[in-house]
Amino acid sequence: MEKTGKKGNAFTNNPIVRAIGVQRIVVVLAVILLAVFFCLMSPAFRQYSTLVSILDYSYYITFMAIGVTFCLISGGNDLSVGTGMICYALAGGYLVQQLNAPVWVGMIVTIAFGLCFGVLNGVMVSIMNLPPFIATLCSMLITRGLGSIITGGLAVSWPSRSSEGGWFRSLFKIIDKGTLIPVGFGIVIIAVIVMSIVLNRTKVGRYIIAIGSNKEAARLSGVNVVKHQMMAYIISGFFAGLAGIAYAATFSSSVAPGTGAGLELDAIGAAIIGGTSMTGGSGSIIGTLLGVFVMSLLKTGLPYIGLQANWQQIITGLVLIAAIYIDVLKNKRAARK
Amino acid sequence: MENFKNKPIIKKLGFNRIILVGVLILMYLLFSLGSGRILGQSDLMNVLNMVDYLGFLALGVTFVIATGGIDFSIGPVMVCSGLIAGRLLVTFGWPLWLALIMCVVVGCIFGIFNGILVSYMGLPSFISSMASMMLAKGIGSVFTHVQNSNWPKAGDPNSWYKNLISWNDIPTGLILLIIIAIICAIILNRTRIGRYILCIGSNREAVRLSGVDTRKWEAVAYMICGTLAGIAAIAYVGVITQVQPGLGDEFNNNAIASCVMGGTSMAGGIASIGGTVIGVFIISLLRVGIQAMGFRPDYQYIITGIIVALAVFADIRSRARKK
Repeated sequence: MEKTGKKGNAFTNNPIVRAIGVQRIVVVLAVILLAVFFCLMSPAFRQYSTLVSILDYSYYITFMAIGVTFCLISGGNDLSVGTGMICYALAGGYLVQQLNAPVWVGMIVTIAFGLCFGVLNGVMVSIMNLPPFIATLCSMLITRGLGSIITGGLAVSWPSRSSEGGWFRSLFKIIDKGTLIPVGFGIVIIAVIVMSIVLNRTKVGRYIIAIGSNKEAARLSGVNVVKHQMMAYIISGFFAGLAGIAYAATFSSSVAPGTGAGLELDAIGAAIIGGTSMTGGSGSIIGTLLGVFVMSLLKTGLPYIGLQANWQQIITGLVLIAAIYIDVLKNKRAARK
Repeated sequence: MENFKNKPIIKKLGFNRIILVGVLILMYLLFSLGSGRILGQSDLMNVLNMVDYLGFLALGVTFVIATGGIDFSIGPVMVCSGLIAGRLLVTFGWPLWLALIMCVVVGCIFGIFNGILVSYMGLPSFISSMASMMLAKGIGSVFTHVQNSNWPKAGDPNSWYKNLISWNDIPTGLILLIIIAIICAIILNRTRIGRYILCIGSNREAVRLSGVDTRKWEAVAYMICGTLAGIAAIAYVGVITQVQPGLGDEFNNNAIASCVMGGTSMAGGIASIGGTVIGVFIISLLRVGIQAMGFRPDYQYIITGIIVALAVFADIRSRARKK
């Protein structure tokens, strides 16, 4: 993984390897190795339904992680996506369950909540100049409280698959005569392609990258820093809303207040594993998607080899530390050149 | 107003601290009005109980924030220490004094771990401490097999540790907290450790160039923080008795909110132990008051979030004005 900087290495100088990126190749290998490892260790893991449940976990993590990637690239961070996602899903679900609103209204409200908190984060970071992790920590607290205040502390269940409003669950998974079709993967791929284009080919994306690599230089060359920094947080809020919908749609259990704390680390971990820098200015959405699969493989696979939730926390923590340390080493090497 | 600010006695006490005490009294009156009764002894005991463990956490994180870093792992580390020591005490039959020392040792180990991650490996403190928050939660539940740790109840043979928190209606916990706060204030303001920690927070590069081993002193700040989280665990079990695995992250936010409210700057370099202690009282009163008024405890999350945002905003504004 550390071969990026060496000069004259035949492997890293290969044009195909350069085009794909060394880190991405390593992450793909890691995903394959992890999958092979779980398959070898547990016969029960080698099933089609396991693959579907890996994908189930990947949907909401991908949406959160896309948003977080934009914030990281802008030189910030977004800690509010985890509790936020649950809060938005609770707000939308409450409308559907208690006030009998149609499901599409619930979905729009979920996304609208996400956008509102995205704007709030953007205002705190770019206009009030709060450090991003403090600003989003505050909105993490606010969304955590707000979610359970809206529902009175109760869990909310979105319509089940068989009931009238259950069509939205088929957006992510179609069950046809007992066969599971993970159509959500298509949605995720479309989102990844669209956001890759936004990041690399549009003004908004290029400006966000420029702000992340040198905010002052971007400002002096006439970029509206306030506006575009804000855009990163609004994108993140929007995708946290989508993540809320994905979470409500893929898991048949009800959405419970207080479950979102800690989920943001899955998203941040995925983005960093995928090669997005903690210090801003570089990153890719496709890399993030690959990072998501590391996280969702761990989430799905560890119980199969007898490691329950408490071990998952330990392993997620260690993976996170390793990923950030690699990022720190990469930056050090880049600074030395 | 300027005259008032410049009076020697006001300068000595600190204008901000006087305002904070005013806020504290105002909150007490508001909560008494809002709940329709004067908050009496039992409410105040609740406040004091929370002040005990939150106070130690907040004192510790003050040192870390003074270096310009942050530690999100203190709450889960406190719970993890309580779980590990509790299991050693109850299941493995360790003597109580050794279990109490073990609380502090576990906290200290986590502090050293965080210090190594941040100062020697150069990881950003907020994300690495979130990772060690996961580690603390996971290790706590793995060690106890996801069971509660039941410390001896009051009246049981091995329950003298409860006297550390309150003894015959004397709030010994508060006295202990104040003693430790004074020690912390002396360390922060009068010793080399404290001066270096504050200097690292205000200008790391200048301190490094003047020949100070910044890495070492930064790690020391995290170690102090972890050790105090271990001491907080003693106060926590003294109040709660039954420790559940998986808890603890709300205490981080409360402790950090207490610090920034008390005038410790998130950017580092400025810290006030006295302010932190008053901040702890405000946060604890807030929690008890919200419940006394009949609101859901979740409102505390929202209010804490808004308080932190405003306190940090005020700090940034006052810095910008000075420039």
